[in-house]
Amino acid sequence: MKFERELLKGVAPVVVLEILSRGEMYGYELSGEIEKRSGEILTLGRGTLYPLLYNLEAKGLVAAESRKSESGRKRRYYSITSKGLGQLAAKKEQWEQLQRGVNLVFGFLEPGLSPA
Amino acid sequence: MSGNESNVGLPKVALDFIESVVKKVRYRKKIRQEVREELTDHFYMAFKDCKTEQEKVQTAEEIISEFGDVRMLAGLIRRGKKRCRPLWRTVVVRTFQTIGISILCMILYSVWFISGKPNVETDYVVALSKHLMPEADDDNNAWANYKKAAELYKSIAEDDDFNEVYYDVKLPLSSLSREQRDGLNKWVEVNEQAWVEFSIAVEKEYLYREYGHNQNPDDLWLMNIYIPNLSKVKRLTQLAAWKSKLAMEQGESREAFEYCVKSMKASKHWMSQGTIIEYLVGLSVGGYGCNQALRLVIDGRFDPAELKAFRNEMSAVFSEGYPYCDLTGEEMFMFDAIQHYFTDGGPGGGHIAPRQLAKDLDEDYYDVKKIRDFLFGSIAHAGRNKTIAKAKEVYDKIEGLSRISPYERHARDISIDSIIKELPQYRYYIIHIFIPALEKVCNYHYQRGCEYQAVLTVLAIKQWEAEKGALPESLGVLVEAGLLDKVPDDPYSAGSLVYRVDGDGFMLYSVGMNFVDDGGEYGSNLKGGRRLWGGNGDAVFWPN
Repeated sequence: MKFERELLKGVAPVVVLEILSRGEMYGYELSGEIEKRSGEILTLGRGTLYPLLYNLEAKGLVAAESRKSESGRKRRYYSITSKGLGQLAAKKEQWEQLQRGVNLVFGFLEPGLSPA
Repeated sequence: MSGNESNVGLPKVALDFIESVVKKVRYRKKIRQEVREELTDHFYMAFKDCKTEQEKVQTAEEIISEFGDVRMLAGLIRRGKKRCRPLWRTVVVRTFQTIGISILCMILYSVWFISGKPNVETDYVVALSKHLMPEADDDNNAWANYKKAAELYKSIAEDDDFNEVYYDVKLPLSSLSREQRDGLNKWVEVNEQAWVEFSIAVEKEYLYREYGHNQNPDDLWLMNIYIPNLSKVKRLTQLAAWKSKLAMEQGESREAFEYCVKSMKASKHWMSQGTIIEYLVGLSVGGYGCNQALRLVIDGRFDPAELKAFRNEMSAVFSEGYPYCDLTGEEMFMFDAIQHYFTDGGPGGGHIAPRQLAKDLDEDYYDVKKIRDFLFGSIAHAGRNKTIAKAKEVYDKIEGLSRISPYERHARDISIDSIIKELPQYRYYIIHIFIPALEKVCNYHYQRGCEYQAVLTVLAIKQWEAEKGALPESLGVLVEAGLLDKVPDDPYSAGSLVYRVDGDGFMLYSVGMNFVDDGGEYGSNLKGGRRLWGGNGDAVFWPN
């Protein structure tokens, strides 16, 4: 399914932070992991990936470190920072609220009940 | 290929893409290298399942397609990397950018500023001549006679003994040595023709001639007008003073006084001209006449009729009042200077053209330090229109103040010099440079005018004394008797000249430039000699 660009715009940073919260990754690995963990629903375009990572790095939400990979090439690993963790927690709560509200509107939820 | 060892094994299409992105990132080398390494790693990881070169190429093309527009990607990467820059680096970069832009703007502005050239539209030499042109018969114009007199005038030989003293018209004949006396006689003799022309000139109604200049295109402005013959006019009035002494020695008192009157008439002519220097020459010439007139009264014995005739003739010269200096010519000098030094819109924007100013001040314009000084000085200076307006304002104020006596100015604590001093020098240095010492000129006017009034007063007193056999009690009685039009004002006090009967004689004086009545104590110069208008003592006209 193809999602509208504007719909995905706010999602990408949160998703990246969530993935990185589970362990450091490099760029290529991260893009594959997003697809895999979202059940291939979400894909982060390659043209978006690195600019997004640099922006998160500029905001201090992720940290980057260059190290030699197993093949001897230099590789940049990204990890979430404590600030990033805080931001992630806040965003996840917002998402939860948003999701609940939308589910209620769509009738996926009865008021007063949690989703299955 | 970038030459980077880590790129080995990548298909050309991937390498070209990576280099293209890196090139378009247009950022620091270190950052570009980071981006190169990251993209290279990305491609390598994507190729890990590719078995053939063809598969690699195909995969590379898919990835490239997913990356999207190279320029946009590079732009987003650059933006992101810039945001990663620490704050201090951002501040430093922005600061240098600002300074660089400012310097560039300054250079461009300076080039534009310097490239301006003045636009000279008005010929003020012609304008001044027109301003002075009288509506009168040219037959009554004294110029041709003055000109001829100057042409005929012969100077004293440099080795002549009289050459040492001719200018000191206060000296009595008895103080001359035999050689000096011979020199004087010779001087008088060789200048007989010149004197005849001069005598004709002073009897004419007015003096007018068109000003001229050297006709050099660079010199066509008032600064360079040609004023010939001024020194010769002075010499001829000095000659008049000496001829007066000689006539008195011969007992020709009427002739002796006529020489004084002629000097006063010449004075009136030259005071009516358009430049300060001519006005000052006129004042000076009048001073010779007044001084010699007083000497004649001291040295001679005159009957009342003679004194009355002398007084009437002297009084008639300035019957309309002692003339003030007409500042129109000076104002035109200023406007002429402004049009010669300021641009008029366009390049330079109505400011001073620094090159013109430097050229005229004979500065070595190619000295970098001086270029900078002239440029900054010119930028700081007020623009053309403001300078013109300020010059007009200054001259209007000066004209007003010049009509006020030194005493009144002193009492009100205002001065012409202060008007100039109040102008910020960096904003109006053109005005500072080109305005003459008008305070002094104004004071000279009042001093010479006072001397003139003193001569008329002494003649009136002497006439009264000759008629009545005693000195008048006060100057007021002379006015009542019609010997004086009014009691003469003292320009250096709130009242009139001080008159005091002192035994058989009398004193007549102004309280002088210190505004203090020193009881008739003579003013002195630095050498201790007498000085009429010194900063000390009184200006004592009688006893002389």
